[in-house]
This record gives sequence, structure tokens and C-alpha cells, in this order.
Amino acid sequence: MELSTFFIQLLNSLQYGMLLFLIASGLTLTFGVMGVINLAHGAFFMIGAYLAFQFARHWNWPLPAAYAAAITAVVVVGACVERSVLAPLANRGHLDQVLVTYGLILIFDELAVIGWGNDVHPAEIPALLRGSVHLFGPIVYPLYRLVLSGVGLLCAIGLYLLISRTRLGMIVRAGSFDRTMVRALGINVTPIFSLVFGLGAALAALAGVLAAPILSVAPGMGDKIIIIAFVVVVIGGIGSIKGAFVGALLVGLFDSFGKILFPSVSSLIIYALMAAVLIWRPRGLFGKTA
Amino acid sequence: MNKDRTNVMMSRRQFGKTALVASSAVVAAATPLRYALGDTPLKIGLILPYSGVYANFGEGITAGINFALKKHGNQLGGRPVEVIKGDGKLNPKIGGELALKQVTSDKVDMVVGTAGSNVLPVVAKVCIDNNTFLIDPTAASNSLTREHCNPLIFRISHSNWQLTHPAGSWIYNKGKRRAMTMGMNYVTGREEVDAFAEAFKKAGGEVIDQKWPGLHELDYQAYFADVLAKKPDMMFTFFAGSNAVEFVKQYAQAGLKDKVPLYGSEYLTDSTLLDAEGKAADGVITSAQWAPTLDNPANKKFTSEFKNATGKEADLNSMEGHDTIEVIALGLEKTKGDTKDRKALSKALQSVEFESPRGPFRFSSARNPIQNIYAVEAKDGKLHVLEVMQKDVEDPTVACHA
Repeated sequence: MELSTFFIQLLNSLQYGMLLFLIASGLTLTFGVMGVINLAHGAFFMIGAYLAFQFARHWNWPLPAAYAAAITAVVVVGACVERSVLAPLANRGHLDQVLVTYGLILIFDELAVIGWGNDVHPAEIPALLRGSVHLFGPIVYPLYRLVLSGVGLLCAIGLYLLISRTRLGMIVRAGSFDRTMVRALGINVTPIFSLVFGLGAALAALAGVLAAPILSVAPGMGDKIIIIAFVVVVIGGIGSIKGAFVGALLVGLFDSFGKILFPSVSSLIIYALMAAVLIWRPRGLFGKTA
Repeated sequence: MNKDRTNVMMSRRQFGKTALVASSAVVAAATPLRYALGDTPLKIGLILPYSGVYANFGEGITAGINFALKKHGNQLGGRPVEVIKGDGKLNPKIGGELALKQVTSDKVDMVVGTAGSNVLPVVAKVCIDNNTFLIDPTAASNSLTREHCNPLIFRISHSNWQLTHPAGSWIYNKGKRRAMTMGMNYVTGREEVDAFAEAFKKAGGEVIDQKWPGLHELDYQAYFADVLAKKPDMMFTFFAGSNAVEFVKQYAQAGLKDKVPLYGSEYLTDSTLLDAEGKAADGVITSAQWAPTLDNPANKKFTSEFKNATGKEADLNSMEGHDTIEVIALGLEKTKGDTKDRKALSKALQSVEFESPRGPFRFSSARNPIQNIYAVEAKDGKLHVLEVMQKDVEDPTVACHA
């Protein structure tokens, strides 16, 4: 492989990895802190993309406003879902949670079809971020994807600081180890659950908003990516932000390089990676030990 | 008293009997009238996707069909037409069940479908088993008019091979020698890209690499580094629908369009996608059976009348829907509306020849159209016909015994 190919594939890995990280981080936090498996997390990704598309394309709002409004709206939707559906399920088995949140996926997908039809809507890249950048040598890379990678990295750093340096982060970390103990210590976890859940929804919506110009806006767009996000969470270890970050980068690397090195089995490679990690470390790379 | 009563009863009975005989005689007399062709509706069953990602195919084809039917005063071969719509989605199981229902309980005279190569074989089998015509407006898998050819099956669009094979030598003759290809990994993508590769190699070119991204992949960036590294003279592709929009945009975004010229089959820059593709589509050249701007009288008439009647621009799908009805109309004209004699109608349809918006149209012995394939360039949101790539292209017919 030529060096330039290698380098571009690295950038591709980073970009795909950061997109996955934005989704997987919310997933892993919700599960780690609340113990809830939320399959409908992918729906937040989709709703974010649809709303940004609606605001920017149909209502001609300026892009930053459209993006902010879309993300805020998803947080509101997320809060409703959390209060009305997930909180009552927090102490039920995972099977119940999976069934209910799967039902939510069907509902949100159908709502998207009712609202915007079955079509796939291509979303525009913001005018400022169109075109590609000449990096060095023969390497040219689309500007928008660089920005996407950058935003993902910033979010990762922000989350890392939040989790490792703040009181909220401390409670989140403690919660992911032992929820009952945190409660017993007199910490009111309910508002913290809501906060974490809202944060996760916002990150998923951000991912949807950013991914729309790359992946188009379509019903069911969240379903495909949520599976991969789960692979990321499982590889990284459930509940671990660091794990989600490393897992996302690994999946990005294996996917991008798999596509050019082993094209015929490229769609299997990330699942093989997951299986290998699970055999080696059954709780994922950074999962808590039993 | 008693007797009288019996008499009355007898007479009542007799009356009833007479009435029955009389009325059945009337019915019997009326029956031949009711079945006279002039009044029996010609039933056409549509099996097309009206939901899902291919919904625009179903809707476009149906718009073309409705337009053409209106033009004919909703009469084909002297019979009023009744259309029975069915949403076959892109699901072979649903399509097959619909076909069975239309053929056995609705008793359609012919089925028009499908848009998905995956639904096509199931529907074709149901039609053949039940001795019913299948007119395929768009699905293009080669086998339908090769090993699976049948006197009951007619295709209006083209075979996959037919659409892109002419591009092989045409592009070679433009000076390209080293090609790379990319196509969606399913039967249509494989057949269209392979037909190009076959012709390009035969002309003397070299195909240095082929990529087959999955149907649900919408991010192609990961493949592009390899294209830059291998530096082919050109890229030939098959992408359709939203995949085409994303591919064309990302190809330009990655800075590849100016380095490795992009070619493909007509679906890559379909007229309905050009808006979404924007500037990224400029300069992309495709092999096409038709373009809205194709310069011939039949097309000018079709595109302007379609616009007037529906308020929408004609597209590939509506053109195919229109031609589907034209073929049926011309066939039924020859049999004076008779669909019962399958052999006669098959022969009549096979001999249909007319000036389609795409140019001269006639059927091969395998009942696939023989037609011109054009080189079409996208520029400023419009398709421009550069020239005829190859005249009267015929799909290679394998022995069609049926």
C-alpha cells in the first residue's frame, strides 16, 4: 500500500470512528449509569438529521440555528422518552427494555415516513465547508470530513474531562460500577440520570446532523448505525467512555482498511474484531471486571 | 277448498318455474353480449414498489402509464382498461403473492411489473404458470430475456448488458486504456459493470480493479484512497437512487472527478437526481437509452405533453411507463382487443415497432427491445446527448426455444 493511500485511510478511519464515537458514547453512558439498554438511541441520530434537514432546507434557517434547534429538539424528545418510558423500566430485565425500545424504533421510523415520505433526502454540505483540502504530497481530503473528525475529537476531549474531572463525572463513574451503592450514599441519582441521558441524546443528534450530508437523510438511517455503535460499545466495554473512544477508532480502522485490503469480507471484519475482543476480554477492552 | 288451494299453489309453482326459465334464458342470451370484447375491461395488474427506497420508480412508471392511457382515451384494442395497482415493495414474497392474487382472483389479462430484479423471477414464474402475460417496464436482469425467455414475457426497458456494453468500446475509443470500476453489489450492479468491463477488455483496455460496495453502504470515502493510488484513466460505475447521489457528491468532494473521469450507466445521473447532485455531476458521462433532451419528434411530443398533462417533467420511469402502454396498445390493435388467444397476442406484441421517445423501438426474438444507446453528459443540472454510442443494440440472444 502506498503511503498516501495509507494516510488517507487513516483519516477515513478517524472520521468514521468519530462519528461512531458520538453515537456510542451516549449509548454506553446510558447503559453504564442507568443500566438501560436503549435501542432507540439510533432514532435520536435519525431525528437529529431529519430536523436539521427540515429547518435548513425547507425553512431556510441559518445553519447554526438549524443545527442547534435540531439538537435541542432531540434533547426534548429524549427527555420525554426517558421520563415516560425508560425510567419506569430501569428496574426491569434487559429483555423488557430491548423490546420496548425496539418498539420505539418502529414508531420513530414510521413517524419519519409519515412526515417526510419514504424518499432518501440528500442533505447539502454547508457552503463554507465544501470542497477539499490539499494536505501534503498527493493527499487531498474533503474539508467537511476533516471538520467532522475535529468536532468528534473535541467532543471526546470534552466528555473525557467531564467524566474524569468533575463531580458529575465522578458520580457517573461510580454509578457505572455500583448504582445501588451510589444511591445508598445519599446521592439523588434521578436528575443525574436525566442529565446523562439528555447529553447522550444530544451527542447522537449532533452525529445525525453532521452525518446527514455524508449519508443522506432516510427513514431507518439510525437502525443501521446503531448496530455498529453497539459493536463499538461492546468492544470498548460497557459504560466506559474511554472504551467507546478506543472501540470507535478500532472499528473505524478495521472498516476503512478492510474495504481496500479484504474487500470481499469487509462487511464481516468488524464483527470478527468484536468476537476476537470478546474472547480475549469478555467484558470489552475497558469494561469493569466482575 | 283444498283443491283450489292446490291449484293455486301449482300455478304459483309453475309461475316460479317459468320465471326461472325465462330469466335464465335472458341471462343466457345476455351472456355473449356481456363478453363481447368491446365491453369487457382489459385488466392490467401493476406490481411495482410504491413504498420504500424504490417508491419513485413505482410512482414514475405509474405516472407514465396513466398518461399514456389517458392519451388513448383509456381504451386499448377497443376495450376499456381497468388498472389494478399492487405495492410489491422490493420483496419477492410480497410480489409473488400479489402476482398470484392478480392472476387467479382478479383474473388480469396481463401483469405489468416489476422494478426490482429480485421480485422479477417470482412474478415471472407465477405469470408463466398461469398462462398470463408479463410486461416488464424496467427491471433489467439479463436472464429474463435470455435463459428465462418465454413468449409470455416482454421487456420494455433494456437488459443490463445492453445498456453498458456499448460504453466499453466507446470509452476505449476516446483514448482511455486503464479502467477501474465500482458498482453496487447486487445483480444489476454486477451485470452492468461486467458488461462494460467485457467490452472494454475486448477493445484492448485493461480493467485494473473492481470494487463492489454493499447496497446499504452510503459512505464511499474509504474506497477513494485506492483509486487515487492506482491512478486509472477512468472510473466506470453503477449506482442508482440515493446511492448515486451520495457517490457522485463524494467522488467530487474527494477531488477525484478531475483526476479520474467518471462514467456510468444512466442511473448515475438520472434526471430526477441531478438537482441533488448539483455541480458534482457536471461532466459525468453515462450510457443511456433515453434522456429528457433527446432530440427526436416523438420525444419532443412526449416530454411536452407529459409536462402539460401532469405538471411534472418526464423522467426515465415515466418514459418506460408510457412505452409499456404503447406496446400493449399496438399489440392489442393487431388482435382487435383479443387477449384470450395467447399465441396470437404474443406474436402481435413481438411484431410491434414504433418510434419511441428513445428512438426506434422493436423487439428481438427474445422479446427484449432493440434500441440505440446514447452517450449522455450531465452539465448544469441538465442531461445533454453527446452522440449515439451504438445503434440498434441487441442483447445477445441465447437460444429461446419456448
